[in-house]
Amino acid sequence: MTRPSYFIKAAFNNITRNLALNLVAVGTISLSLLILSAFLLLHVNLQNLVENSTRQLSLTVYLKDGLSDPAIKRLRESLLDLPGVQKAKYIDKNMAMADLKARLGDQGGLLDGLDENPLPSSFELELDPELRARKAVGQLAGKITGQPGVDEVNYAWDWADKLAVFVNFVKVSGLVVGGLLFAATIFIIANTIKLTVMARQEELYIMRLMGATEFFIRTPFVLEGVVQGLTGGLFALLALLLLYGLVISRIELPFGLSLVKLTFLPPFLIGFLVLAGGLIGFLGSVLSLRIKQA
Amino acid sequence: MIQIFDVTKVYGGRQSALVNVSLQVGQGEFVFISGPSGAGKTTLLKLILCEESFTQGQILVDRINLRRLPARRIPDYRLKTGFVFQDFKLIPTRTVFQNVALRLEIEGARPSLIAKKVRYILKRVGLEGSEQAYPPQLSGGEQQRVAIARAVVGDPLIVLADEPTGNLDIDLTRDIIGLLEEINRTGTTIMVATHNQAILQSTSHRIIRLEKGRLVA
Repeated sequence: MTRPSYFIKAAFNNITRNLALNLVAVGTISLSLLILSAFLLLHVNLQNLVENSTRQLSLTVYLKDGLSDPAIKRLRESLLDLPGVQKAKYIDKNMAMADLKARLGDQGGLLDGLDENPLPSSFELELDPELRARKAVGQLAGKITGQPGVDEVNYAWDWADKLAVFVNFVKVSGLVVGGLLFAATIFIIANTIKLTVMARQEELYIMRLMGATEFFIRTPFVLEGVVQGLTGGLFALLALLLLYGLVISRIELPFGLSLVKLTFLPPFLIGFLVLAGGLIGFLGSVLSLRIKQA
Repeated sequence: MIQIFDVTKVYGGRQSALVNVSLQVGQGEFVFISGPSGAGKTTLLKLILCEESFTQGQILVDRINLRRLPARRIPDYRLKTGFVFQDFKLIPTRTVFQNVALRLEIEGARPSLIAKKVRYILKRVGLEGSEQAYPPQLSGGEQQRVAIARAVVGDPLIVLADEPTGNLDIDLTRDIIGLLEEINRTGTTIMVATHNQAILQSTSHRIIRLEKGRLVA
């Protein structure tokens, strides 16, 4: 049984002996994974945005002016009876005005010039998360609109719907582009290793005559591919971190009345990125040795 | 040690390299295989090394029937043999030490044992101090000594040498044959294919003669 230290040393020697070729392979993997990880970063941030939006948007029921307290109470009860409505918070005209003033901050004084409060009273409904499917919310809004005392129902989720469609588009594009890059990179690695194998035909022939098994001969090449892949993955990660630190982290997207900073990849996707590099290297080297044998 | 029965080797369905060859080589014996170019000397060694298959007959080496030897068992079998070629077949990118050590690395020997055995064998073939040299930095005679060191470092039962002195002058030829004889004295069976008449005329070892693939003596 050959010692693992031999394989590691042999793989290291393979790499240093063909350093230029190996650097090209590592560069190719890095570039492919960088493009793939840029898609991942975009997807993760858009997904966050959609999740935040569905979490924060609530369904608002605006009431007609002049409703009596018992009518408001009855409406609240009937709203809470509707399936999917968990809470109904009543906001009267004055509270709505105070809230708007607070949001406007320094410019809140502009509202002081109004003769009367134009804002309607309303109910802010908190919905069951299960009900967040767009169709179900639409049906619920339809039911509420018909209730006595209701002026208008607002559930401005249209843009969130469009955002979700865009997120899906990014996801699919990322999968297609990533898949193509993945396959192309495997092909490049396979050819890099194949070139090394071809350049060392005589040496491998001698090793076979000396009693070396195919496992003994091939393992260093497979390790070489895996090292190339992992290094490529790490370089891609470093490049993405650099890009994030210098550019992406400074971008702020408007969300509601606040600005949202873009986040970096979560730890499991960082691990995935590096391991994907290793997998590319492994598949590429195995493929090259399989082609060689055929 | 080596028993060959009625072996025929035909290349490409037409050209016969060996025809009905039968011979035996005893354990610890030193034999020369002689004959002109194309007589079948190299083919015979290749068959014993399992580098090529034979068309007909049987070959037994240390009671292993080579015809029935599955491909996956060939590496194990080859560990029982050592080989020396006219063109040395050293790996130019590995040092002398690494070339010889490779044989033991294939077996999975411990690094300390590898270092000890390689230094011992290099001293035995007169290459002490050349461990870190690369083959292209050595003379032809020295390279052949490295090849012999590599062939015997794993204590093989048989050493097969194909024209091991073909690239060497007469003094170096005597040196190399002397070295092989020294190894033979430790019990290793040696088969040397050569057409060098100077060696054949001065040897007391058995000579097996092939002509046009047939055994003639």
